[in-house]
Order: sequence, then C-alpha cells, then structure tokens
Amino acid sequence: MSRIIVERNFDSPPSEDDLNAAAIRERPCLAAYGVAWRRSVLSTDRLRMICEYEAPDAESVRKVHREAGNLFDRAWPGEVIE
Amino acid sequence: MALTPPKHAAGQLSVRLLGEIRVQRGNEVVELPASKRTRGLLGFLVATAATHSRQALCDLLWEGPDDPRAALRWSLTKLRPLVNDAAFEHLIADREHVSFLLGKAQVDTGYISKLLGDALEKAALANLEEASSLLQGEFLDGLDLPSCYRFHHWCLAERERWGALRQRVLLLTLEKLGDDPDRALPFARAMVAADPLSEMSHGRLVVLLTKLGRRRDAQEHYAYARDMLQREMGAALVGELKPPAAVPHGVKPMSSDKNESLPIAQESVAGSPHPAERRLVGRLNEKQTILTVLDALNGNDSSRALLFLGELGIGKSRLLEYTAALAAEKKFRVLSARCFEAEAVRPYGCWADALGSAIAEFSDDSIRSDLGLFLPRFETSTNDEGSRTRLFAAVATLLASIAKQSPLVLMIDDLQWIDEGSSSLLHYILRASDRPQRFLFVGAARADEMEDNPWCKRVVSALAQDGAVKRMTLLPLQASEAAQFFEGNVDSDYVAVALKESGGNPLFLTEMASADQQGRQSSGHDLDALISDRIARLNNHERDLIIFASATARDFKPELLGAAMELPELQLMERIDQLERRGFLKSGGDGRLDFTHDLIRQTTYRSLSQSRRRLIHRQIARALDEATKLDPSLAGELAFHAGAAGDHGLAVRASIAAGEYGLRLFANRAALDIADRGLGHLAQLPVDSDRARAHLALLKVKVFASASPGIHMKPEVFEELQQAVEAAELLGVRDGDAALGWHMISWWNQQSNNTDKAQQAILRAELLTRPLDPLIRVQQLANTGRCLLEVEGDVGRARSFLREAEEIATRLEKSFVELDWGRGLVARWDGDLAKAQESMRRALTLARLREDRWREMECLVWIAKITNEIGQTTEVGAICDEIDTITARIGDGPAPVADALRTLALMQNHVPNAERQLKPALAALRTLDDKAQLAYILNQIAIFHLDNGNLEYSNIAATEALAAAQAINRNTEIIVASSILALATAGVDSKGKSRGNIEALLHRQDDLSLLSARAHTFLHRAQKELEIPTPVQTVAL
Repeated sequence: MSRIIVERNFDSPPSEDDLNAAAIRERPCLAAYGVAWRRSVLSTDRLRMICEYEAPDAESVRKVHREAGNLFDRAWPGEVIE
Repeated sequence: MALTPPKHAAGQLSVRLLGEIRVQRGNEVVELPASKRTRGLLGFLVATAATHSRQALCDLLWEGPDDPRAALRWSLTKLRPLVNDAAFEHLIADREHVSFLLGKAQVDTGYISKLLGDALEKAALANLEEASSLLQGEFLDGLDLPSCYRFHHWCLAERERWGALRQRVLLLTLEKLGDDPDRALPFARAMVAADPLSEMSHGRLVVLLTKLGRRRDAQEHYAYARDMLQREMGAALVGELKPPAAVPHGVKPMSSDKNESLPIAQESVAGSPHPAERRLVGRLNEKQTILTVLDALNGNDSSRALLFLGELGIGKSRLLEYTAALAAEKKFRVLSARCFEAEAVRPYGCWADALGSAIAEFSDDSIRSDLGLFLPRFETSTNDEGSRTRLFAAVATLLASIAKQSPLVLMIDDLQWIDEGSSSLLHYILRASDRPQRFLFVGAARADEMEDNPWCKRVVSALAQDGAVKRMTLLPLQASEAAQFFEGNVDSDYVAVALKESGGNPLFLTEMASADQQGRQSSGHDLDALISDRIARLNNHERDLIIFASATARDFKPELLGAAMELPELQLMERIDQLERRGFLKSGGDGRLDFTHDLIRQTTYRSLSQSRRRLIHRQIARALDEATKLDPSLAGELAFHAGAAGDHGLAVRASIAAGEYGLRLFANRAALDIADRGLGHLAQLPVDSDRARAHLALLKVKVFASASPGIHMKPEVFEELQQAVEAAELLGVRDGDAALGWHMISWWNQQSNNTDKAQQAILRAELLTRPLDPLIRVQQLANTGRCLLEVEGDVGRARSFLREAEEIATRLEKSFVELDWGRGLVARWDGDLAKAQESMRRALTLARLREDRWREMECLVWIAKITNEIGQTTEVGAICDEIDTITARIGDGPAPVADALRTLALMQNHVPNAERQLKPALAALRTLDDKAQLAYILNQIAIFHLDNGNLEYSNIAATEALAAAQAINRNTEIIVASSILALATAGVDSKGKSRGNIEALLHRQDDLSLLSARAHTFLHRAQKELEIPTPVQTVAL
C-alpha cells in the first residue's frame, strides 16, 4: 500500500458540516477501492487542506473523490519522512 | 562467476534468516533471547535493513500488552549487546526510530541474492548449486506469532517469496544438470522435500531415478508419490508423474542409494522403546521440598504455591509428574493441565482442562451452571447474566469444596503460555481472602520465555511479592547424575563429553542415550538434530501421523487426527501405539494425547515445508469445522488452523465465533485478540456483502470486549466501524447488522458527549428499517455493481446487483449512467465486446446529458480500450481526442491515459516512431500513479511485441505490467501479464520454467470459470503453446 496525499483548496472556508458531508460521501467508496483514510490537516484559515490516505495507487484515491463529488487539486503518492 | 563464499571472519557478524534465526560472531554462535517477539524483531530489522519508527515496530509486534513501548525497549536492550560491538553499531535506536545497518554483516538472504544476480536464468551453475544449498529451511522458521497479525502476514509473505525462489533455483539447477543425472539427483530430492505436493517434482525424481537405472527405487517412489498426492490433494493427477519407463539399454541397474546426499530414511526401530522412561534423575533438593510442602498441606501453615522455573528440557514437567504421583499416593486430589502456545485462542483453556471432571462431580446446581461455561457444548442460555467475578467465585467455591474432602493440588505446566483469562483466575484464586484451605498450586514455566507474556509475568511476580510461593530454579545436572542416563558402565570421559555437549540438560541427555542405544552417533549433534534423526527413522505411516499431530499445536483427541487424516480407527490406534512405545507421544487426561516433549512437536513441525503445513492445517480445520458447531470452545482452534491454512473465509467465520465465545466467558482480552486476528484475515477477502457483515461482526466483538474496565477503548475502532457500516449499506446490508453498527456508533458518541453525532447515528439506524426510495436504491445497486466490476471485487455479486438495479430501472422507466456503464463492463467481462461498446456508448450519452464530466471521461476511456480490443485501432485516436477535450473543459491538462492509448494505437498500426512517443506517455502515467491503466497499456504493448516476435521487449513490458497489476490486485491483468511472460520466456529459454509458472498460476485460481474472457484468452494461449492441460478443480475444502 502506498501513502497518498490529496491537496485541496477552498474558495470559502468550509464549515464542519461541509467537511463531515464530504467525508460521509466518500466513505462508502473507500472500502470498494481499498483506500483507507489516515488523517487530514486543515489550514487555520480553513482554505487549504491536506488529506492522507493509504491506497494501492493514487488513481484509486482520485476515483473515490470523483465518485463522491469531492473536489481536489492534486493527488500524489509519497513517503513519510520523520 | 561464483562469488567468494561467506566467510566468518573473526568477530564479523553473520545472520541466518532462512531456517531458525541464527546470529554468529566469527564462528561463535551467539545465544539469542528466548523471547519470540525479540527474535522476530531482530529478524524483521535485519531482513528489511531499513529505518522504522518505534510506533510501527510496536504495531508490528506489541499491539496487545499494556505498554508496547516498554516491551520494545526491553527487546532492544537485549539485542544491542548481541549485534553491536566497539567496531560497529549495527542496531541504532533513538527516541523515535530504530534501524539495522548491515555494514559488513553477512546475511544469508543478501548473499543468495548476490549469488543469483538480477536474472536468475543467467546465473552460473556453480552459483545455483550454492544457492540451493543455502536455500534450506523456511524464512524465520519457528517464529510464528499469529497474535501479531501484521508480523505474521509479513512473515508468511516472505516465506512464500523465499519458498518460490527455492523452487525456481532447484528447478533451474536441475534443468542445467540435465545431462548429469547423478549430480542432479540430490536437487530433485531437495525439490520434493521443499514441496512434497508438487507432482512435477515427484515426476522429475522418478525420471532421474529411472535414468540412473534404479528402476525399483523409481517404481517405489512413483507408487508412494501417486498415493500421497491423490490422498492429500484429493484430485486426479495432471499427468506430470508417470510410471518409470523401461531401463534404457546399456544402463547398469543400481540397487542402493549410496550416491545420494539426501536419502529418505526408512529404517525402522521396531521393538525398541525410547529410553525416556519416566525416571527422575537427581533433583534431590526439589524432591525434598515437594515432600515437605505436601506433608504440610494437611496443616494450617501450608504454602500456597510451588513454582518450577528453568530452561526447555531441564525437567520441570517431570517434577510436576513426580509431585502428582506423590500427592496421589497420599490420597490427595490432583487436578492438572498445561498451557499451549496457541492457547490465547482458547480462553481459560488450562482451567477448562483441569476442572472438567471436577465440575461434573460437583452437586451444587447453581455453581455448576456458572461453571458450565468451562464445559463443552454449553448453551448461551446457561448463564447470560453472569460476570467475570461471579465466574471466578464459582471456581473458588468448587476448589474449596473439593479441598474440604481431601487436600487439593492444582498443577499447571508451561505457564509461559498462559492466556489472560486463566492468569487472572489463577491470580484471583491464589490471592482471594477466602481462598481454599488445604490447597496447593504447583506451576512450571520457562523463565526465559515469560518476557513474551505479560499475563504470566504478572501472576508470577504477584506470587513472589506475596511471599507464599516457593520458587525453584532448576539447574543443570551434575556428572554423577548425567551418568545415570547411559546404560552399562560408560567411562567418566564419555560422561564428561556428554555433560559438556548437553549442558547438563536431562532431555538432551535422554536423546543422546537413545541415540547410543540405537547405535547412532550422538556426539557433535545438537538437541534438534538428535530429535530430527529419531523422527527420520520412523516409517512413512508413523511419520505421517506424527506430522499431523505436530500441526495440532496442542494435545489432541485421536478422533480429530483420524478425521483429518481420513484414517480408519484400527490403523490410527496401531500407529499411535507405536509412537507411544517409541517415546514420541504420551496419553493425557480425557483420552487426549500429547507429545512427550514440546521440542519433538516443534522439530517435527519445522521439518515441513510451508505448502505441506498449509495443507495439513486445512485438513485439521476441515475436521474441526464440524466439531465446532457442537462445541464453541473449539472455535479459536479452528480460527488458528484455518488461518494457517490460508483459508481466510473460514478463519474470519471462526474468529467471529471464537470472539463471541470469549465474550461469553468474560475473556475480553482474548476476544479482542481473536477479533484483531480475524480482521487481519478479513483484509484478504474480496469486497462483498458477506465480508461487510463479517467486518461488522468482528468490530462488534471489539466494541463489546473493549467495554470493560482496564481496557482502553480506541476511537479508531469507531472510525473503522463507521466506515464498515457505510460500506455494508452500500453493499446491500441494510438489516439488523448495519442497524446495530449505527447503534454502537451512537453509544460511543454519547460516551464522548457528542450528542449531535449520537443522534445522527440513531437516525441512520432508523433509516435502515424504512423501505428505501427506489430511485436511490437503483443508483446504489448500479454504482456498487459497476464499482465491484472495475476493481474485480466479486463479479458474481456485481452481476446480481446490476440485475436487481435493471429490474427496478425498468419499472421506473428510467435510465442510469451507472447501470449502462455496469452493463458494458459485464459484457466486456463475458467477451462480448460489441455489446460492451454499445452499452458504454449509451452510458456516455447519459453522462453528457447530465453534464457529469467525470463519468463522461471514464466512459470514454473504456470505449477507447474496448475499441482497441476489438481491433478498430484507427478509431482510438478520435476517442482520445474527445477525452482531452473534456479534461480541458474540466481544467486539467491532457490526460496521460488518453495520450498513452492514442500512441499505443499508432504503434499497433505500425506508425513510425510511435513506440518512442509511448515513453513519455508511460512516464506520465507512472507519475500519476495510475497502476490500473499502466498495467493495461503495458500488457497491450507486451502483446504487440509478442505477436511481432520482439520477445525481449514483450518481457520487459509484461514484467512491469505484472508488478503494477499485483500492486492493485487486478486478477485479469495479472493473468494476462503472467501468460505473456511465460510465452516470451519460453521463446528465448527452455519451456520448463514457463510451464511451471503457468501451472502455478492455474493452481492459484479458485475457479477458472470465474475468470474474465480477457484472462481466459491469454491463459488458453499460454496453455496451448506450452502444452499444459487444464487442472481438474475441486471445490474448496
């Protein structure tokens, strides 16, 4: 499994409900594509967000987002450096 | 060119990972900690030679104990002095990370890889021969840790990898030695030993024996292999094993095996009982203490516990037997049991064994009802209202009642493997204020293995603090005691050598004496080797039985073995009788049998190849499956065997039953552990509604088990639960199972003071009970069906979802993008490409009408692929242009997949330079990390090159396609790539390897009729060109 990062930018700050709704929309697709959400980081101005997933490839994560209708800018595989 | 063989320069570190892990400094073997997890950690660090976070290592090996970081620290403290020295620090650890730097350390797996180079086929014969000799033993053999499921699965995957390499190397060596049957014979023997279920290996051995003129040996082996394969595989042979041909003219028949280096031992030891007669040598102080403690048991000032500690084989169990015999002489009541390494799967296992008969005798109905949980075949109705305290109190009452009639001695052996429930109960009994009078507990444990088991450490240290336990550490025997093991008058020099080699270990001395008695060489061998030699001298039937017995991992009932081996009772009892007489097995209580020593079990089990182990576990699981329906306490064992057999479906089902059994027994830790193991197996199952239900059931066990004091509830469990419930709903699970999931989520949110989310969860649960809007239902069904087809999850279920969606859509008189898309995928799966193209075009039109750009693009990509497969390659370019138009409209740049498909079509049309243009298109797909499209396009490229005779290019493309398809588990493209690889390799090399690969691929498919038409086409092509028959498939056991 690869670590996949999804970058998202918002025109206006999403509310908690917006984020929850997006998460609920994508959840059913996650299992189907073998994708597991790990964590997300939301910028303090709530205009940018990075989500981390574990998935077989980046395209699977893109498909999950597109099927759920969740907009994103980029999805790319990466390695964690700690 | 052969490499310089690994030399053990003075002080240089070398590590062996194949076989039992072994560390050497120069020629000195370094003694490793007995803790399996610590040795597993070392193996993992050396094998990966990478930096790992401490958290990752804790997750790998110590998820269960209270303080994983402390356990990891302890292990690192033990390992550092063994592998680090003043010259070089191999093991580096800081606050967050741990690494193993190889430096100049010699690791067998690394050396083998160097020997074989990048291309196995090009390796020199000398290197192949050397690699064959090093590729002995399973990877990290003996370090089976099924409770650490991440480590366990990693370890199994490595074993598969190295096992497959061993087979390939042996096969290649054998092929290169085609003209030298004498030299090839040991390798054929090794191949049979590595995979006794490979018909091809047996076939080659028979051919070689025939070539050597040893027709009688060939005939014997043919008959043995034919019977064994038919019995164990349960299917007709595919024709690779043939009766030996007539002896060629001019070949002188040979009658003996004297030229072989790996003979199969057939020697019988008829009539000679093993000298491990149950005599207790030495131990005078211990005997005196036992006598004193037992004598005092009638008085008030008695010790509560006696504990024997010591290394494996030092005589702890023998002292327990001595204590039992002495207590029985004094008319005391003795209850005894032992723990087993796999016991965590059977909560309170040792207590149930010890108390079994006593519970039946007890007359108080209410207590018996509470204790009914310990008896087999109990019903849930026996006691649903109980609690752990009530259960413990009932045991205390039972023991007190027995002790009133006569002093009571409770003995538990092998405490280092005690489960949490049993340990807590023991703790309760020994420390309760109203503990039974005239009661003595006698335990035995391998002190150095207690570190792996927090529950054992806890109870032992609590007893020590109490001061009411007599701890006795058993020391090695003295020379005068060692001499008593040998018959006749052996001289003192002989005894001194035996004492030095055995380290004064009675089990070792017993095995040496046995070897002497049978005229075998005993000096210079370690204990494992002596036992292996003794096992090797059994005849085939006895060895078969002991092999099955070793896989049970605990004491066993003969009936189970009989059922697993499909052996008539009479033959079974005859063989058991022989093995008892030869000191391998002994009778225990309740008609059960056990090994005379666990080391015999371990040695026997380790002699088996991974594939043989899997098959035996499968047969045991099959035999246990029926029994578990009547006796739920067996569910843990069933889960263990099904897991070891690789039968993930059965392992998950048994894990659920075992988890629920654990909950009923209030053994919450055990339930958590088994549920985690079940989740590990669940991940291997295809995505479908059965898996979704099983997921919910396992998480239910986790949630219920976590809802007890002392167990920390992880919020991630509820995250996972929420995902599982939603996935289940999507897969059509809309009943009580899903509703319970929402209720559990609601409960958790209430606990976390999140009232809003709790209400939402309740609403979701309620929604499940309402009939769903048919419009939403058809969309959900079609979407799920289409999705399952795309990821090749469960095509049968996908079809049924789409059929149901179709029926509803017809009633509603509506069209749906997902439904036509799904129909297109089904048609393509079935090989009806024209229909697929038509359905996909309809889906495209619908997507355009709804301005659903993403679906429009996805449908176009499928249309381009299907058009290509039909052979209308000149039309692909225009479709790809449409894809680019949409991506431009969405705001993305040109789609790499369109670029790749367009250029692929140009190449197929033999347009000059098209192949060169493919490179950047493929590079873009790799950067995008779209493995599904990458695998497909690379396979199409490989097919093109194969058809045009460019085998090398075909090989390169198919190799990458295979890796990409495997990473995302797309079976069709895996089969296509493997078939192309086999065909391309067969074109430049011998057909043997290609044939082997395709045969392995065929055997891996559960049901060939469920493959897609695309997979079938290429598999048939490979089969036809390589002349491979289709194997007869049986229904999974």
